[in-house]
Amino acid sequence: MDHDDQVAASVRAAVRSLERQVGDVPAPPAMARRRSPSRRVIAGVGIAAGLVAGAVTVWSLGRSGDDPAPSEVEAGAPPGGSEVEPAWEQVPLEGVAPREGASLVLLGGDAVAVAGGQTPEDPGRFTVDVVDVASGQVVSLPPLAVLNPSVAGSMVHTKARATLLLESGEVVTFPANGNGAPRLVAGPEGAGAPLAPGAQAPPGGGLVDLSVPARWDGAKGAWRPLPPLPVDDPGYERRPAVTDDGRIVLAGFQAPTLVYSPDADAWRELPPPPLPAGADRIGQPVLAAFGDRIALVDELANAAVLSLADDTWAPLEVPDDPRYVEGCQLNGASSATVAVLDRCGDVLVIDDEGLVEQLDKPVTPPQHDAVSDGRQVILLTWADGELALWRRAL
Amino acid sequence: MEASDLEADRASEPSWCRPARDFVSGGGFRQSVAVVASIYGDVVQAEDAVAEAMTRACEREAAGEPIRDWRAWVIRVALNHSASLARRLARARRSRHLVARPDAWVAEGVDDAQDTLAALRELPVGQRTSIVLHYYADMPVAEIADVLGTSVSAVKSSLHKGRANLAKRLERVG
Repeated sequence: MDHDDQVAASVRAAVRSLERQVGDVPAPPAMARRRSPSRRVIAGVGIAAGLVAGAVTVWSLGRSGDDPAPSEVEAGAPPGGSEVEPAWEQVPLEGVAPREGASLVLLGGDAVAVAGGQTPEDPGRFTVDVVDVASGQVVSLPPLAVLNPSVAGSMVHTKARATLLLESGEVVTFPANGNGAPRLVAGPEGAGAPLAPGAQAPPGGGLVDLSVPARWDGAKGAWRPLPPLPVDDPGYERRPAVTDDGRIVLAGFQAPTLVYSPDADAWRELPPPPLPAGADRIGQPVLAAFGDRIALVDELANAAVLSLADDTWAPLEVPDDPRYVEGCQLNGASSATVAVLDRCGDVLVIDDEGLVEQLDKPVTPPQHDAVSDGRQVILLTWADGELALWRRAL
Repeated sequence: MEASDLEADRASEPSWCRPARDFVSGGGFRQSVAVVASIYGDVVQAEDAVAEAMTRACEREAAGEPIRDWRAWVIRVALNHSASLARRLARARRSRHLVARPDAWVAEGVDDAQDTLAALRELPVGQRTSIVLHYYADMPVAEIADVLGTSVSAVKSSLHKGRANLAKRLERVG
């Protein structure tokens, strides 16, 4: 039995041990008189907020929490959109190939890249479309064959070009103005990725691959090994936060916080983030960098903000909102002034004071990626292979 | 109480819709509860969550919106419900500074199973769910993507990372 088979057998045996504890099926409630608990909460919120606002709230919240229908896409008047509140606007995506999933990358100004995603016809291709969200102009770059077309999530951008780290450890760069093909630049040692002849090294830094572990040295156009972590394997999720100046932060609730400084080429150790005694811990938190701050949120809404200016953690209170109920994994995105964390269609905005705002989403279903540059939030959604792009001023 | 009264009470009790009865008789209830309990850690709460999901599914069917894949639908709704409940409980405990509850991941009499469930609990929810659905519920990758509302490639990635992370954690404990 190989290693993977052993893991599979352990999981099967463990979950079957739970199955043996399952009791009889309970009787159903009387359907006609029944309302779901979350809808009751939502209705209460709506009434408290006033009749008109309440009606809008019920409409929007009821869809986010209760109805998991995977194929419904309902573009509507942005919930909460009034004369004073910014509203979501849909950006046309003419000519963009349908695909399932993609990542958004800021390219500066109003330009974003819709990168990656799985196309049924050619799942081995890495496709990039550059979209000007102000004008709706789309430039589709020639596809690039890569080992694995999934974006790993770590990405940097400059005025000249954007750089992506793919799941397989390869680095892809492409021009900000959309004039030119994406380039496969290099992979970390051992990843087996080819180096494209004549490839340009991206300026700046910020890419980190802790499976190697290494960071991308933009000046030299090569991967540079990181010093070993100063603690034994703490079980960190291998997706760190990286600041604009290349500092790398690893944090979890059950281990020290580690900060790597490229100037010193060394790790330093900080205390773990604060949690009240007895707080639940489950899964792994997600980190997002914004300026000198690192936001940390886990799937039970335990949250904290680390200030790298004075190396201190502060608790972050996530709003107690019935929308905040869906069991989806957080994704992180960052910019200079605002962090956006998205989960199942929820977009949280964390400003420089550490406050949290939750934006109403423009559509269901929830599958999406979100980025922000501090002036606007840009949201990419997909359903049944169809992509849609949205923008909202902050 | 007379026998006729008992029969009358039984007749007045609500009953599950036919797709739900088929789901239960096919083992769907038991399997779904085990999946949810392995991810959120409490069999009794998982039973409630799955029953809640079945109720919503029957309501949809009654409204003329048939559900294509009952297993995927019920598990998805039950996971959402359980996540909601877990957050509310966590928030209540945080606000009251209560001592953590005893670990609810009790796999009766099987130490290895407890270790495995504890290791599963440390994984991110996407990896945790993908692993359980794939290796316990034998769900194909496309169906897991439907449950999680994500792409097939993301599920493949979660399975790959989840396997590696789980193996590392199991080596650590054992």
